[in-house]
Amino acid sequence: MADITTTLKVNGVNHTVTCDSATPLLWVLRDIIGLTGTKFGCGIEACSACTVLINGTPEKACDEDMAEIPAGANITTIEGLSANRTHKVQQAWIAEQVPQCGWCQSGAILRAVSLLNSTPNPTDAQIDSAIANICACGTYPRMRAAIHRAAGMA
Amino acid sequence: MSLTDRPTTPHSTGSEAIGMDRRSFLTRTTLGVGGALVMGIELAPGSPLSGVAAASGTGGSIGVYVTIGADESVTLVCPGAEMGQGISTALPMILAEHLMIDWSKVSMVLAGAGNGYARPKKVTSGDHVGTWYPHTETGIWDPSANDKNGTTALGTASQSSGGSNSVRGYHDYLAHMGTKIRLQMLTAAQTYGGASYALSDLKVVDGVVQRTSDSGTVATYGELASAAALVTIADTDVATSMWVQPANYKIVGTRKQRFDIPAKVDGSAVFGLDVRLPGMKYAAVKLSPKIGQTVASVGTPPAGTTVVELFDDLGAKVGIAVVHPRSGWDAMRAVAATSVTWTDAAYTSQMDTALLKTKFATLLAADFATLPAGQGYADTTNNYGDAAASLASVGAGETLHNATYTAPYVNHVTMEPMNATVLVAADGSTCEVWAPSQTQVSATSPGARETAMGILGITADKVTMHTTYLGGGFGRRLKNDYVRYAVHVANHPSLRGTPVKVMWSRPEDFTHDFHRPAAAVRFDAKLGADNKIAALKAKVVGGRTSNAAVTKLSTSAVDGISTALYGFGNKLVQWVDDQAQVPVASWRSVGNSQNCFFIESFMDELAAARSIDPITFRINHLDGSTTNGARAIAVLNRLRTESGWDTAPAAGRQRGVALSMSFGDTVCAQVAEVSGTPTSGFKVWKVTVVIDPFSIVNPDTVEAQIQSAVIQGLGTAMYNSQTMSAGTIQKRNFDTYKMIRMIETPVEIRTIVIQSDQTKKGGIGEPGLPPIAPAVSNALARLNGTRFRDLPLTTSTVVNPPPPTSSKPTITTIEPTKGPVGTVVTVKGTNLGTVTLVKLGTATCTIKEKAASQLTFWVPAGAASAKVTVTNPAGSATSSTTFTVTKR
Repeated sequence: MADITTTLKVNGVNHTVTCDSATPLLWVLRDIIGLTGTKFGCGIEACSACTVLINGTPEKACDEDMAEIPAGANITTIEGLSANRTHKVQQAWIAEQVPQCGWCQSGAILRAVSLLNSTPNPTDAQIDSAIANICACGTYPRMRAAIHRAAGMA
Repeated sequence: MSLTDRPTTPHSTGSEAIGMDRRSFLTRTTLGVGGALVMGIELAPGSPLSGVAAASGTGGSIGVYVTIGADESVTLVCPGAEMGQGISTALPMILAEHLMIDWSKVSMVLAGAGNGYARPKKVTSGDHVGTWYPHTETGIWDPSANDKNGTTALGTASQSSGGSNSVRGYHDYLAHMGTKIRLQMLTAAQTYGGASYALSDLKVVDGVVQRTSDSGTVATYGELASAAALVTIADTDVATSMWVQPANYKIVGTRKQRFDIPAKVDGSAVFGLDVRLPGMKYAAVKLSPKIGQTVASVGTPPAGTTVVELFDDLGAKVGIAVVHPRSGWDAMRAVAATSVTWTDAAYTSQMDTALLKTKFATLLAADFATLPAGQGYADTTNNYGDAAASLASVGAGETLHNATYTAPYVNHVTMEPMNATVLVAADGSTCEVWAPSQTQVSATSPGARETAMGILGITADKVTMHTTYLGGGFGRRLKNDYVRYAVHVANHPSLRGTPVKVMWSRPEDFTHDFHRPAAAVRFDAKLGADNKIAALKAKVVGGRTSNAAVTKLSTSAVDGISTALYGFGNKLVQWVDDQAQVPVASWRSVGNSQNCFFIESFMDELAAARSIDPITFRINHLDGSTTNGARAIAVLNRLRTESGWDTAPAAGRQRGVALSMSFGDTVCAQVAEVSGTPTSGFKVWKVTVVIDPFSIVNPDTVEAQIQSAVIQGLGTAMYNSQTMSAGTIQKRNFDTYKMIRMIETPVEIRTIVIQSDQTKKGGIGEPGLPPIAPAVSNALARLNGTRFRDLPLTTSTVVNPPPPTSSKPTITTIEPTKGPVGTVVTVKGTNLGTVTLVKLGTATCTIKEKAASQLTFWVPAGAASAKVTVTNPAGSATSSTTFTVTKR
């Protein structure tokens, strides 16, 4: 273990951070940069609450060591998805009143954004296999409805 | 710390409403926001509005519920904890309805901790009949002198969100309070601007007082606020007939978007773990690895960190926290690197699933009459007739039946692990707590506030509580153990004056839960020649929701069986305390969650024994001459129609039904349509829910809560059991404690709400959960001809099979080809999305994710080096490469 100082590009902004080289991205985002929208759920990549987009690809930040992040990568967190919740997935999430406790929702929203980027009009089966995020409140039916709604939005 | 230092988001921490006496309230309102003059009205115990000078020094902050600004903005306070159940919208809806204001002008803040926010009661006897406590006329209510309102002891203050009690518990108080403020506004309007109106000349429309004659505006609430604040209206002058009557509701009963949702889609909602304060440090806990252990010795923590010992409520040293200045991850690393040795409790090694199963079996078989004193209790309240005598005498056409059912320990699994942030003043005299707690105030539980008071030896007015959003509750956060540990850390001599966020890893969260208790039941029944149950005897073992020694029947252990709506010829419910020391507490729907599975499964067994339709059999045991019996019959009849019960299900599917009544007499029945078997995997296609909670506030929230309860209840019934081996909790994360995911969620969940009485409210958050497990199990039994009597229902790793496929899987590569237990292995090939079983040699692996061309799994504990075999319904494939299991 040794401290490193590196620059991360998060939501279009460069942040110079000092942390242990083995620190997972999740904790750099939450505790060092201060972007707490990305959530800690399990620490073993099993629940997907910590999902962020790295160069557009969904990754679980809890097991993404700083050393593994490609140089110059664009990291998108829930805070950077849009200004004022204007992204169609966020709009659909509000319209369908998806969140309950809300803890897992940032990860689910970013996973849904990624799905819609690759599959603009997903079937139920495609949604079900893509969204493996754990939601203990059981908001799954509304997540599914919101993804369909977002797919139909311009 | 000033207000601006605090984490604030819209509708978030509610610091404006916290710990504020009238003087500071007026100071703040005079200053206003952004220089604007904002006048406030508060309705709170001890405020001038209720005819008493604001008291001070009697302990506890007062409740501030309503603020009306000159700009007509209205801020309403949610006194309870928002954990997804929607009360931070539903409670303001009630208040707004009776205030008669424009909903679009309303915003919400979450309350901190205060006696004024405790769940209120109307005083029904003594000198103060018709007043409300904690809103009393004798000043701020003092929990230590709880009979001062009259001859009736009113119990201790409880600001706690549990038992599906928020809407039904606060409704009348909020209706009363909204009406009272509306009357104050009307009274102030009578003389507004020098006019002179009779009350009957005036009405309120959307927060504007108008003349009844021509609907002309007299004044707005914003204009009237300061004058209205000086109007005194006695509680006893506010009759329920003055409330807005249900026929005239404009807000209650309509779909309102929840206040908390926008902040939950952009990352701005502040949960406990998201609290950030200037100079804050981070701590991570290490609690006993085995049940009941205490700390024997602590090694040296890494340089630059601080180790703090943690104590439980009885003073036992149960763990440590290590504090690091930089991040939660640094703290978790530091605590992992700090060695601790532990001392077993006498019972530690006995907390073992195999041993406990034997113990339960022994207690089930034991003669109730010869149990040791204090271990067995009959339910004298709900028993009737002589079931034992009836069961001993079998006449013509009568048959005896018995069955034994079991339910395991399960975890709460809030997605946000336990945490709290605490700042203790440098001199230890005051304390601020930021916590995602379900219980802010309670002298007995204790609340988050009382937890801090007890450790620091300070009074309630010295504790400022900030309730954050809760990343799940489910009963777990009724306990404040995580607050206690955080106070211990922040009170360390070197940390006073510094805010510290104390967090738990997921394994700590799993291993220090207060479980839904394990339970078992033996039913004995006699069916009469008339196909009705002549006698039912239920002997329940376990199921208590407290580890304290018991001296009487645990009503929660028999809830759902004792309280079942059915009438039998004779009924005998007995309870046997298992006396296990596995930590237990309330889990969503409490005793109903397992007991509904038990009795509703057995009802189906009895119906099947006489080949009677399960819905008809249930109705035959309900008494339509009672209110609740008639409601249950109406619910079942509606369910029969809405679920298509009398039509044939699709090929390979069957339907099952279950009924329950819980939490304020909410009746809920469900029909589940399933295919498959517990051993080969099953799928729930459709769940139809009919619920009668008397009346509702926000229909959208009700539907969401039913979906939530069905899915959580189903997932738990399908998969979940916590197990112990010689004191060690075995399932510590989501690789072994399997959670239901979207792909296993019922394809359709349909909710029909019956509102049978607009003057009453039943619970919503929990009553949707109990029926799903028996509805599914009953469907599986009818489909397969085999009864499944033990939870969880799933007996193999093969669950929820996808539709049959004609293509076998193939494997092209596995990556990596070596690694230790816990390694995530990626399998590439074809037809992998339909794989239901992955084996490494003979070891069954948990699938992490799967798609058509790629699948990942975890290398399980105990696995040896071997090839990987994947199986789907069409066949299997084995890798050409061997995966080598290495040591860590």
